[in-house]
Amino acid sequence: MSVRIGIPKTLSYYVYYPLWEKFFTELGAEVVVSQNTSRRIVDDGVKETVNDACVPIKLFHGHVLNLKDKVDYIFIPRLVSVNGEQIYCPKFLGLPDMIKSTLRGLPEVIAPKIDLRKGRFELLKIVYQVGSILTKNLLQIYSAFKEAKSYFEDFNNLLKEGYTVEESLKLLEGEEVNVDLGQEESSLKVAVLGYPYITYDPYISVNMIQKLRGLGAEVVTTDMLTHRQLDKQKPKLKKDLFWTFSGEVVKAGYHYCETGEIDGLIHVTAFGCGPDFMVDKLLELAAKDKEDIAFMTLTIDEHTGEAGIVTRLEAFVDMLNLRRKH
Amino acid sequence: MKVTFPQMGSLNIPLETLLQGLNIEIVSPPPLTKRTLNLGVKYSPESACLPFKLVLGNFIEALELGAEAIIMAGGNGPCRFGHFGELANDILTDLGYEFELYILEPPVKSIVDIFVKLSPNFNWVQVIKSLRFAWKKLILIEEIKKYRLKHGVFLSKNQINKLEDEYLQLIREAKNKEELASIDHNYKKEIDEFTDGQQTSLLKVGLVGDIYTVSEPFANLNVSKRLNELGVAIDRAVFVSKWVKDNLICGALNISSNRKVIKAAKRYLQEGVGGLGLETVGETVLYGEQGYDGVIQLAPFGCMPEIVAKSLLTEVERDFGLPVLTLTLDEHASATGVQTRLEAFVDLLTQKKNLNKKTFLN
Repeated sequence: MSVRIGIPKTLSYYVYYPLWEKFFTELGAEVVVSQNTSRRIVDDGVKETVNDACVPIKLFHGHVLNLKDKVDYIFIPRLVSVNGEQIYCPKFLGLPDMIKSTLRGLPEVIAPKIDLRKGRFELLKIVYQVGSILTKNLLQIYSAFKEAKSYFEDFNNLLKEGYTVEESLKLLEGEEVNVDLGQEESSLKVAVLGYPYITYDPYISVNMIQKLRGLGAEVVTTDMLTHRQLDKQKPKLKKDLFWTFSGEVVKAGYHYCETGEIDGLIHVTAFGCGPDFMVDKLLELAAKDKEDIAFMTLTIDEHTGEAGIVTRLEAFVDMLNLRRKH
Repeated sequence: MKVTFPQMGSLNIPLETLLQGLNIEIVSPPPLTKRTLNLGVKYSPESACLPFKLVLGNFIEALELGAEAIIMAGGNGPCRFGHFGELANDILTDLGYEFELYILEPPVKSIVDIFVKLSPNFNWVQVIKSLRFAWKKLILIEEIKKYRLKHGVFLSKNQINKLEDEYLQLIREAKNKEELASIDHNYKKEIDEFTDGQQTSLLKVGLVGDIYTVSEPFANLNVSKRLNELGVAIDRAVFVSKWVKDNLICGALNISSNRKVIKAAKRYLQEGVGGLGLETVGETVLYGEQGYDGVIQLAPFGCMPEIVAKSLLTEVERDFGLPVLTLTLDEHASATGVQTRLEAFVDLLTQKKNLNKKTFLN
């Protein structure tokens, strides 16, 4: 029987899953993903995690618990720096340690440290380090990684076209996706900015993107912009944010405000998220400068109820429609 | 140009000495009060941490007193502290204050440039002289605090406050090395006289956590004095001089100085998580190895590095049988609440100690 590797369906899952999945399956392992976020997973996570942590971290603990008895390994990479400049928030840096010390009876945790500030060679070392758990054949590891990389590029291209992570994954696997991206010119355009593990998780974001589409608005997110477009906004920041995801969110906000193509900007944040104290203020100030862009912050936590969020979304869209008319 | 800087503990004393030595006109930041906190809370983003709120409130007060420029340290993350300067700048400008902001961060040359610009007659001899004297004052302030934490057991909070204020003022006014030496001597003598004949302390507790919260008594609601009053001898793991040595000096030379702490933390945390997260874990392990009775971790609400550390301390606690109390502080923290928790913690430690003694005798 092949080795089963578990990947929790949250945090960096929403950014790197296709890369990892392809890599591991090419090497003959079976990839097991935790179930969709549910009340149960949230509750399990909340019970175990240190109580000051933010929801995404609690959720991650819940997903690991969900996988615990189903797999031989759990893959929790320690993301330190991926673009060679910015790093991740402290909780990402300490994630494997937190998991290992909080949760008992786990299968072996694969936690490679991904710090590409040390140079390009580092990536190959990490790939080998992880691959060698499954095979000692260097060539096989290399070709698996190459395969995974091109698969990952396809995934990113789909994101740029305007599909959400969930939809892109389905398309990659050859499934049909029922979304009409060619919205009419006249429809409202709303930017939903936030970390991928919040905006794309249907449970924790109470399906915000679908809801907005249902209300007749076109939704744009951070992932629909290219790195070039984001980098162009860099000079507007006096000091680039330390945190990779946060930097992207702020730059995406600046981009959409600059082009003026959006009617409203929704910043989705998790209660207790450290970097967002900065992100939220910067986005607010950016939107304040633009008279025709409305701004709203939605804070979600483990108690978030669907009705509360939906009411606010409806009110926001109604308001945008009214503004259009006048 | 009148320059101000953030207040933290008694950091204003060495900084005044340094800046005055360079002939820079200063507005010393007023002591932190409820008003500082209220101003900070009012204008900060809601989820900012307590240190940011206090620093922002303190800046507003200093600007009201006529400060025209602010100097503060920067950083390169991932602790939020590194972005304080830029964010404070945006908020204060939005409020309509006019001032210049200078953020001290590597490379060293940019720091030197700032001082060349601010000082009317910049010369290196003067810089080195003031820097050395300011450093001496910093060390002395920390020395008297350390001595009180360890030996000032059973002193009442008021006694400590009176004594410390008096001596800090003397240090502030001191003009030369000799004066500093005699202050050091007198202070220790006075503490010894006060505590002479008192019962000796039974409990030893280590104090770890975020540097701002540990250093600033207003932020931690005087935790260390309260503990002294309850008869606990304290060892504080975090001091500004230590931080400067470990991060600025050794960091610039690219050598790791606190290898001992990092090694101690290794079993629990393998990566620096910004702020003092790694140090909190490492120091707690060291306290455990040295047979301390307990450890108190101080953290502002929402502090990311300390949350990671807290999550790992549970395991350290288990491994060493070392009780750890985490006090999370924000603008709503109440003195009574903290006092009650400290009393309960001290009771627990005393009982644990007596229990151990009994089983040993049996």
